[in-house]
Amino acid sequence: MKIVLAVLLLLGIFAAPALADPFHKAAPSPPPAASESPALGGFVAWLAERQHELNDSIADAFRNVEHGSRAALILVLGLAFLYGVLHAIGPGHGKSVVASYFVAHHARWTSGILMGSLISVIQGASAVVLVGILAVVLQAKQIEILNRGTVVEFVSYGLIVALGVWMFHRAATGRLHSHDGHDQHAHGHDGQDHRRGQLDPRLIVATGLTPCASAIIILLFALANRAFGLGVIAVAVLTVGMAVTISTIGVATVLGRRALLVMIDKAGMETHRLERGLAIAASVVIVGVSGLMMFDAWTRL
Amino acid sequence: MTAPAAAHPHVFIDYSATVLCQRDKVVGVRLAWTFDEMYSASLYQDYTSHPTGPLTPADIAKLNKEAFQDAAEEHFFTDIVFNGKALPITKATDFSASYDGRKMTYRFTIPLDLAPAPGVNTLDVDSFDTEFYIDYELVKHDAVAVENGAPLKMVCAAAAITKDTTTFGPLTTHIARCRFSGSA
Repeated sequence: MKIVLAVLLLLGIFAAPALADPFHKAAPSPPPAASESPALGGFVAWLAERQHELNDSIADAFRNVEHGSRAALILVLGLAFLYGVLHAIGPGHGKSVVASYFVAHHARWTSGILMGSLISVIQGASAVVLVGILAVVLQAKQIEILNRGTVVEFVSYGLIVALGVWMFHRAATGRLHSHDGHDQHAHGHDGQDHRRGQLDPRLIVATGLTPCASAIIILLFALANRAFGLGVIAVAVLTVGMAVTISTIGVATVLGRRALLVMIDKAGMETHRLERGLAIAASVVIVGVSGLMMFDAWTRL
Repeated sequence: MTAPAAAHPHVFIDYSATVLCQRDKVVGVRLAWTFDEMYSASLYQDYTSHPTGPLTPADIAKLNKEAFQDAAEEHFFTDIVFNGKALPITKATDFSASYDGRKMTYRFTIPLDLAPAPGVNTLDVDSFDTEFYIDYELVKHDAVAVENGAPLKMVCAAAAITKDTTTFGPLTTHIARCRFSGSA
């Protein structure tokens, strides 16, 4: 019972705020308490307004770069970075996957940075490839290209769901695989230490595959202004900004998990069962959230 | 205007509303939507035949037919609530569009035919995307106007309310709220 509570606590602290969308994605039906909804709703509206301003500022600065202003170039890059940080706070971008992964796995804090950065870079690259092929090679309409991203999004979430199911299977049956069924305690730790610091590249690629829609929009705007190269540079900086946000969530989760385990250990309780509980709960969150995102993408196909 | 990839706001629209009255009836709402610069550039790129310059009548016709009228499926992203009851929105007329070199603006009218009930009537109007792919923001100044509202003693102002989105949960948003009186 205590373990269940601890799992809920950790997921509550680190997974939920990390997602921002998933409060509602993961639990679509219960209406939030009236007292807290205006605050959250106000924050989301505020965030959107800031994005709107940044969007217009980047567009303005972009035009000035074309007129040869070096200050405008620096402004574009600075704004793109800020946009990346803010934008990644919104739903998507693999924050739930990163948080869940580090709830489930023992890892160094540097792994949090590595995973967040790799996902961001792949998301940016995916947008460049998508726009490059559709707009530059196939000459597709801009608004069609925005819609086309949904297909990739659907595939990406599908892959994450599959990996989540696999993670669940492994966590739930972990002991059965172990070498010696009698000494469960020792095994839990063996299994963990073995994987310490290792990231799952499949999960990173699947999560990163979803092209960042903001990156697509910036690239399309660059194309409309016949400055694709500048768009690619801006997107590179945007991904650095997103990496900051996603990595922060990764690092916070790594440290949170560690603190929780130390606490449980000091209380004289066994940690291996908690670790297993965390791994199971995290895989359920991954499957649940990605499944909903996949469904959401499917309705938009 | 379909709702594409990843449902956080990626299109930003500043809008204003004008409630149109004729004698003792409300006959429509005229809305003006101004897109953010990036989406404006995409619209301009996709629906005009020239690289720069103002929109031609042909461009506007094309925007209406190929881009704007798609929004009919989404009730033109507009909610109108008359005395607590949401009205079905199926038609938008008098479409026009302009481009100032940076931003695209759509103007159109949702036709209505509302006879006031006796006593105090309310009419709430706003543009909103429940998926929050589009972020609609009521403009800060001169957001709401009334045309020929005197016989109904119509008074309109912006009001803050909370609406549900599918992806973000509740969202604080501003709507146009009018009060007027029936011919009791």
